[in-house]
Amino acid sequence: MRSPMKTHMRPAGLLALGLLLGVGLGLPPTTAAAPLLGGFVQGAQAFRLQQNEALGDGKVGDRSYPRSEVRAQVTAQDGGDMASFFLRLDMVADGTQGGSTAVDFREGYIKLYLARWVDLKLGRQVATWGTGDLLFANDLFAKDWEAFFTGLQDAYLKLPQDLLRATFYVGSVTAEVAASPYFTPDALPGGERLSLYNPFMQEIVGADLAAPLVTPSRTATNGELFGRLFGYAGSLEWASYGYHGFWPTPQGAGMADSSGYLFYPRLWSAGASLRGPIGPVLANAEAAAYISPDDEHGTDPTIANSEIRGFVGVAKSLGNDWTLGAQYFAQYMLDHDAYKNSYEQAFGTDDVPVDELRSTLTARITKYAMNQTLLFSLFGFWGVTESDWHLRPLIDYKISDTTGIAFGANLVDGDHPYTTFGQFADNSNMFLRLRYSF
Amino acid sequence: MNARTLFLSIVFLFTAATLLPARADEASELMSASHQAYYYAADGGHARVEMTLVDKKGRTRAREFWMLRRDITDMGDQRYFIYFIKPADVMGTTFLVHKKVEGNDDRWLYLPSLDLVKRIATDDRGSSFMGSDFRYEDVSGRLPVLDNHEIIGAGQALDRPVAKVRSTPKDPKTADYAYRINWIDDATKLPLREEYFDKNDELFRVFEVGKLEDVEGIVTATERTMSNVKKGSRTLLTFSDLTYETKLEAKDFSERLLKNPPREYTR
Repeated sequence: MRSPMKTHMRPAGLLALGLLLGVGLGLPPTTAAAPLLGGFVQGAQAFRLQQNEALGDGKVGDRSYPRSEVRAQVTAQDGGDMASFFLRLDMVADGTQGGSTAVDFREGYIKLYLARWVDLKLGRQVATWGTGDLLFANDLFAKDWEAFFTGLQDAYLKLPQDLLRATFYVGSVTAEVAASPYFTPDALPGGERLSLYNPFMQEIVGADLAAPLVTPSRTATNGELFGRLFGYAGSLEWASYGYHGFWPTPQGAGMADSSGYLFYPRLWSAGASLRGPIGPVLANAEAAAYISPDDEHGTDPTIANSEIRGFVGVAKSLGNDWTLGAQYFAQYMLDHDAYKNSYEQAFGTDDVPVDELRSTLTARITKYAMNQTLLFSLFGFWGVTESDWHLRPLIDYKISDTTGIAFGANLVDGDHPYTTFGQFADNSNMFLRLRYSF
Repeated sequence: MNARTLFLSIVFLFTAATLLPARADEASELMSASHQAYYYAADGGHARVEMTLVDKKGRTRAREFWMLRRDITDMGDQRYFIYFIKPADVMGTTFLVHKKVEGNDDRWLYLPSLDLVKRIATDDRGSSFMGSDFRYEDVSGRLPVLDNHEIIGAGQALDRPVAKVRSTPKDPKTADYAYRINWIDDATKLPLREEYFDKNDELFRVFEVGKLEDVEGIVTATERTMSNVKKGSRTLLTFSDLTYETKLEAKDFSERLLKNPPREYTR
């Protein structure tokens, strides 16, 4: 069984190496100023909005709250002309994990400014690219969906990864390559904070009945490789992307000793994006081909087929600090007939859970008030094909320059327990966060 | 009316008739020179800016940021870069603007905790700059050709002789004011005071320069206040660590800069 908290706790070897390199190479000893320090202390509490039978119906206990924590974050950074370092640690006292405390090593990297045409960023870091608003096609960096559904800030949607990242600047084109010696899967609800779908039992379960996850072993061939080419054509931004690694969520099912487990099949991806203004509207389009080499022809019903996914989006400022955005997201499964046939052979029905074309719409509306210290935001997903939805209302108020309070909700429901949002149907919650920054 | 006043009236009318077009040209030239002096000094530069927002009850909020500018051409397109220092929860956030004389600006925000380069939808130069009483247009400049200008007299501001210019939008839809009065410094052409009036002839916004300093031979407004008369709020900008040396070229104002701010800002 996998505890999402533990996925944060990887060895600090890369950091130590990075710090040694940084101290040895770049940081000028003449820098008199102390490192720049900052951070915050935050309390976060999420409350369930309905009883969740899978997590123990009506019982008051550890699972009563999807999130109940106090978190202190410290950030330190310093640097010279040749190199800089960055360190970010979260210390978390977690009421949902039986009152445990843990150190979440979020970021620790050095940047080396090797030449005018190349930078290196080495160590644990958060990485993001692509043009979507909470939609991803070419961004295959690890994400923390449990944090996303339980009331932490959007920054926690990104799961840090240990990466060697090189950025090359060639004329007006930027080329970026990131590599990790091992695969970092997305953190998914594990049945402690949120219930989840067990495809073998075909029902919603808690941690005790969750299907085991098998991650790829840490061998030389099981790393991850990310690439991006990027440039501007006037106001238009273009990019192309590539990825070699594994499906970020467990898209494979296997049997061992007559019990089922889930695993991460291999994934190759290539895609492109455009972003720029069309008159007063900011528009973006992005697409990616996901190739599933472990199921090349789509004939294995236990491994995800290859697919094309992509989205188009628009955003517009309405003046007076109002902003509107909308996106259409599509996933098109390749070899759907082969999937249907093999599914029928395996399970005796061609009523497959995954449609050939799945469509999702999103909308966002934001409004700032009171000198932009008060934010109202509403983001919604509507799974048109899968008949599920997810709403994210948020009110965020900065009481002073140091103190902020946020109140929001994660509302989620669907017709089927196996769809993207439907599986979290009994996990709707509202949350309160109080933060003091320094 | 006696002969003398008749004579003077004729002389005045005659002079006014010949002077008025010249005065209008002169006014436009003065406002162009003022725009150049205020928004396009040297080829760019940078400054550390403290921004204090004061609401009508006297409560304050503090912002602090580095601001970097590079001009592509005088009176033409510009590049702006901002690195946020305060408040603490946005430290390290960066902001990039490709300001365009024609068409909408391009703006990007970089959120380091997500490593996210977010493009900002913009078409509203009248919106508030970082929640302050300044608007984007006050920070990056409103084109002088959008207004008709008229010199209406002389005066004093900051104990310096100024020309008073009345500016009226050619198209009322492009501005939130019906007209404004500018106090333009005779010596430097810098605007030392601006009063904004609405269509009911009521004053609703005042811009004032509080301090001029010589920076590398260029007289620069290092204290600037925008007051919202109707709301009773005001915002004070104080510039320090000013320089007009520009190490960066216009092409450097890209995603690389968003993610790798000049090292002197992050120390």
